Amino acid sequence: MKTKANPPKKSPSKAIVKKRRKKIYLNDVAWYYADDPADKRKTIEVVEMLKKIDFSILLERDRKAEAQSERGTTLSE
Amino acid sequence: MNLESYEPHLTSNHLCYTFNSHGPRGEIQKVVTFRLFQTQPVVVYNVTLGDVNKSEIGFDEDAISDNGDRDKVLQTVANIVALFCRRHPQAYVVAKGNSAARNRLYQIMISNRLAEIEDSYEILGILGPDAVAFQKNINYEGFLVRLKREK
Repeated sequence: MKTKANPPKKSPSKAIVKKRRKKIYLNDVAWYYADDPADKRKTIEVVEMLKKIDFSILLERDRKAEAQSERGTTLSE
Repeated sequence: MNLESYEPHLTSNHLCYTFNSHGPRGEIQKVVTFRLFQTQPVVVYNVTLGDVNKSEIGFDEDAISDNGDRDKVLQTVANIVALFCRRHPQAYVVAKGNSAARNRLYQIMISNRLAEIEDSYEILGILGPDAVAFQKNINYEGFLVRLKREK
């Protein structure tokens, strides 16, 4: 009588376990890996640098440029 | 100015680019990664350069390996940032070196091609709360770059 050969089972010790790295979030999007001190240092430094920047000046300039381009479009129509 | 650079390859998530550096230390795989750092009031991605470290997960951040091709590597990174900016025209990309010396190196690279960069990109130097138009011979804490808006 023929018996159906079962595929060899992987022993638990040989199974590849993909380590999930823990992420620490500094705001809603910026994160660093908890197990990487260099990543932590760099991420904190850059996020702190960005926090200090007054982006209102850049936004105001963008608004002005947009308004100007809209006026230009209207005039040329 | 058409400087020598390596051919970059975009990975499937569109946030990583890889290329191979060739030099006396052999072939070293590099990775340029963009990570979202803020969404408000403006969208900012951080750019990092690293060597792909085969023994561990991830990469060695900010690695400029001594492979005799520093300028070619940095030129490749600049090309990748340009590609990314075209893909994300509303976003700024922030670059900050790990040290003052590294920042100066970035500054020299930008200064050498400032006129060419400014044709298509807005480049700002960061000084405390100010992000101002990049000027030569000023030491900045970091840099912001974005595709120039059409006038």
